[in-house]
Amino acid sequence: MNKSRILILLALASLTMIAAAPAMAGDVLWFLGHSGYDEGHTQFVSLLQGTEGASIDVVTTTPLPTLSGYTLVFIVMPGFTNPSDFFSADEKSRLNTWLTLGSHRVVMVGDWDGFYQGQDVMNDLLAAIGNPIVFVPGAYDSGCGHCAGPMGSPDPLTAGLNHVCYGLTPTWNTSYGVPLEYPEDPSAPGPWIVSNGTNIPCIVGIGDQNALTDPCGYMDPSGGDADSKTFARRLYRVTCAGDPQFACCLPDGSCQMLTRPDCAQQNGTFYDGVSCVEVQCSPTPVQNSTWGRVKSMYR
Amino acid sequence: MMRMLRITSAIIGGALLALLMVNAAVASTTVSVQLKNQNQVMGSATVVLYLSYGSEQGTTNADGRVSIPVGRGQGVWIEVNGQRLNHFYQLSQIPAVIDVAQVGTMTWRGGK
Repeated sequence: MNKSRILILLALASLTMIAAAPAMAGDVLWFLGHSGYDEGHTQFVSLLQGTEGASIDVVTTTPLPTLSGYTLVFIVMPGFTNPSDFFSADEKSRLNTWLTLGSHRVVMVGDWDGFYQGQDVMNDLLAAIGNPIVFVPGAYDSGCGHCAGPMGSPDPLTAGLNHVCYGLTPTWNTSYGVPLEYPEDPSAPGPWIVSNGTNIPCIVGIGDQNALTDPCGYMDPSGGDADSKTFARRLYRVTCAGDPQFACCLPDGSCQMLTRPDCAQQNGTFYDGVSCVEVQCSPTPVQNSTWGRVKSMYR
Repeated sequence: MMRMLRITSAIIGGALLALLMVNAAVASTTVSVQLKNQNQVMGSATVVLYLSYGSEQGTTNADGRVSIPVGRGQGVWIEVNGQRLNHFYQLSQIPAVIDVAQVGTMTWRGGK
């Protein structure tokens, strides 16, 4: 009887632990917690899953889930419905730890200031994750179809692209980071896309969520805008410093898109030029033993 | 010759399909609502809809009703006479009647 009770308690404890730290299966996190919001991510998810083999977890709850397994995290309009819904110290700490691997990237996504009021939440988080970029509320170029904004400094995320399209956007503080593209409106004080340009941490700011979400249709896999889709794919494939990321089979049998050095650091096997959808990883076989038993095999 | 015709037809068909899909992505809708304040209709009220791609404006008639075409988007903040309602509405779920006093207004932290 007592044994049964103990077993039940142990089972309940295990379930509680699983509930406290949900295990996600994807390698990309689209995070809408902390009162975040988007205007639909169907096309974007379809694009990355279909052409890159990415696996995207859409999380709408707070706190930030366990980050192991992810290489790319989108934080979309945090504070949208509650501009006081700040990230906790624990979440910031976990993000900072996660960002110490060069293959890990955070993309902050905002919107114009008549629609989005969570800029304090976004800037508070940015300031906490090192070498911050700073979101500046504003509104430039109303409506979809804005694809002619001047490109900024040369950058791996936008190299060779003529444009990235957006709807109505704010900008980023010009004092920080690398400007990737400016709004069409010449009165805009800064870029609407910015990168901090370093792998550790790697942070990208996108002023207008319409660049990635459904209403303007830029990410439509069967149509959309070719340059904008290439930009989105690069967010998945390239680090802020421009290092390519390819499939890395990890000892546990999982696959992550990592740079070659990060793959080696994780004791993985790197597949140059190949994405995770193209490789079949298998776990390295191991057998629990003791040093004594191993030695006894050779006596 | 027949092969070229088939290829041309396929290209035209594909282009038409793409056009249809683009059109579907930007299908417009109209926000129609009657505004009241403590159950009294709000005639001649200025109504501004704030969407992710921009804003749209209209004025209520004597019966407090207004219809505003919206190009695209999923959600909207509503302002009535400069006061932002304390609720974010999905375009597909906007009630036929909104009583401003019941919903309440908020201090907008975003700027504008």
